[in-house]
Amino acid sequence: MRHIFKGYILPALILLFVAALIVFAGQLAAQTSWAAGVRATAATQPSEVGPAPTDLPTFLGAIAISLVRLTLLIGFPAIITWNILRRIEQRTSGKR
Amino acid sequence: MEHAIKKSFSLTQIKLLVALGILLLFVIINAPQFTGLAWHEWISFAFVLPFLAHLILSWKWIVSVMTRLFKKLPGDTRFNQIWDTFLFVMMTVVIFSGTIISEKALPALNIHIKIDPFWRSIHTTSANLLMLMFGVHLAMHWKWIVSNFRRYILRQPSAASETS
Repeated sequence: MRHIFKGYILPALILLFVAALIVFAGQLAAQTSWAAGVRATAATQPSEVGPAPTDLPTFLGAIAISLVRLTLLIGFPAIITWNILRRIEQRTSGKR
Repeated sequence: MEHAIKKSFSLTQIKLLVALGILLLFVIINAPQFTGLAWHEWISFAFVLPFLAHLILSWKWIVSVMTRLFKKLPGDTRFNQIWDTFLFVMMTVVIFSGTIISEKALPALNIHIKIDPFWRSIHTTSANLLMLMFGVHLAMHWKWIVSNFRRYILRQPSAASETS
């Protein structure tokens, strides 16, 4: 019983507490003057996401934008990290 | 013994399927221009389930690493510990901000929240940051994904999967 509490329930409660703390901090941040500035800027900008593409040109455009975004934001960091890991591995195996 | 080996293999298979599901959903969610706003929101809500499953399946690792917060750890484990903590924080911010700016899914459930442009801005920025962090997280576990994908999906035996 003690093992279940220490191994499962307590860590889950801590995780939930951390998540609640983040949400609470976010709500507090939303009251600041910085948030008012962000709000004023964001209110003038249109939403980036609209309805799904319905014709071929917008469909192809959406695929192109998505591919570029995914490549830049997920692919690049993944490739850079992978190369760093490989170099570290090669260096440590060379030392042996 | 045989039962234990069989059980651990099936757990690895479940972990692999959940990881692949998360990867697929994450890519789809982060192409909102392609899916449109309504699908983006519904798929994002559905994403919470595999995300929780991923946490539960990695629970032993999370607890073992977090209980050794101030103890000596191997370099890659320490990096994963810090990185995954920030990833969890960022995921919480993205899920929370995304939920309160919902324009399609929540109103469809008869929940109406006044949309604050501040949270829309936070959602866009944190989602972009999350994608960068996800790329690094993916690379850190790429070897495990590839070796188990070869083993369980392509049915090719590999030496690396024996040890993971």
